Amino acid sequence: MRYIRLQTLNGLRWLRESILFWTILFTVSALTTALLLQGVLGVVFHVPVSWQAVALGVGLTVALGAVLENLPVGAIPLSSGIFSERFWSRIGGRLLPLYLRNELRRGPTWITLGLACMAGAILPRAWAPLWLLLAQWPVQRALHSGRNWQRLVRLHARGPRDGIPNFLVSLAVSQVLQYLLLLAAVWAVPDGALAFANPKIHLAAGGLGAVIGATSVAVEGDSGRPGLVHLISLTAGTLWGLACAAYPWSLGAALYFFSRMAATGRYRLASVEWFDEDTFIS
Amino acid sequence: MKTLSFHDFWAGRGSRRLVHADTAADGAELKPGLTLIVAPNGYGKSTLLQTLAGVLKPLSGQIRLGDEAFQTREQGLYVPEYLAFPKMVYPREWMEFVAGSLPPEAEWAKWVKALRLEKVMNSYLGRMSQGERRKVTWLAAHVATHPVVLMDEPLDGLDVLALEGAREMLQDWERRGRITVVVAHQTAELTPVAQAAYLIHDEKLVAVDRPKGKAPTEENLRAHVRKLYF
Repeated sequence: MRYIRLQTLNGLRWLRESILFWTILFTVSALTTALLLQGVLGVVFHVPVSWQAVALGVGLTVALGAVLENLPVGAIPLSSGIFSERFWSRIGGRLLPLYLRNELRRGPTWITLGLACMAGAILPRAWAPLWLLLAQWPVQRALHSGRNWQRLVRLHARGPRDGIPNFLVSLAVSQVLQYLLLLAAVWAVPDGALAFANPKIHLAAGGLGAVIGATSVAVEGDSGRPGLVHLISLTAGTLWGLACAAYPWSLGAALYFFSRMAATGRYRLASVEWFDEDTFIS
Repeated sequence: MKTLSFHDFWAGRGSRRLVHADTAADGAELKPGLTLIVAPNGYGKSTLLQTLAGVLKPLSGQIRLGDEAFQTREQGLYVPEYLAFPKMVYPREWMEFVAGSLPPEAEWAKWVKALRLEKVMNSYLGRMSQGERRKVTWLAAHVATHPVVLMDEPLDGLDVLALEGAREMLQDWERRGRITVVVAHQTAELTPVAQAAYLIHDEKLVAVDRPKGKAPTEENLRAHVRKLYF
């Protein structure tokens, strides 16, 4: 009896803490984004997009990442050496090879990419602008392990000062690589999402801008509710995606924004509360 | 042989001052070999270690390695009590990450055997037991070239066979002139190879008396603990 009471209490508290907050926050966010994006997408891409479609896209982008990240799937046995470690370590220090090895061996990484490819291949013409959201699926999934990576880099990869920029560079490189694979796959499909864009390069640049923008803010929101980073990232990614789709030269500005965000990461203080339990990054 | 000296150094969290050390005033310095830091919970052991490691900023003062300022992140290797690992990474890859580059296997293969890790060297870290992962942290610390190693409760999860390997490794580091600082609650396994021991009392590092010319023993460490804290 006491056990059932304890479980019920625990369940109710979890419901109060998580479900209500997230349902309200997510609904407000999805609807606001949908209403705003509907108009902007229509202007940028000259394709009318229904707000219901945008709301569905926003919902899928956030929810799929959470589901896919926690799938109990195994690893792909990729051996060391195929990740061009020496090349990557010149760009992102010694964290980048480690990050790439872990990320590219994981089942959820490839399942997410596969699903994004399929969705990109069958996206109807009227929904083609939603490519900007679809491109962010892998980022949204990867953000679920971001907090643990932040802890790891603070302890090991040159500490609070340089750890956060190293983490952001590692995340961005990994995500850009995944986006390029997604882009190549969908580009090759005659009736895929990109086929409806005119010219294709605009939508391709928009997707890349969305990925860079979304990764730029990957360490934001950690002082508030856990998970807030997903909505911040989605917002930044979508705004940069729109800017780069409308004006592909904005990619330069997106990169500059990324470099500034990485640089400010240097001044984040280490949070002592994170050091009181073991962390495993799946 | 370089030593780690303190100059009006304060470690703490936020505005709370926890540990003060000043080599000129109280003689607290860390020499090559193993130094144990012992104190009850909440006295600032881990804070001191994390400050030496550069995870936390010192509240004031300086630390010097020999005649130069101690570069915490470059010269100090921190091995935390609570581990943070990516699951899909092999031990060799983790060692390379911690050390910066991996020396030839012949140089560290002996320690794989000493720590009884031969069977799991080709397994992902996520598929190892907690004790095996702890052993990998020892191995990674061994291949790193940092002159100062800072370990927080490094014996957690180690089996009786690996304990012997860990003690041998500590002696090997001492021969290399490495300064090793270990924070531990269970000290009996380490005092036989320790060169010095400090207790934290009244926000200061208090050296445990040593029998003439010898390392501190578990008996005189316990006697000091009784004298200071009971």
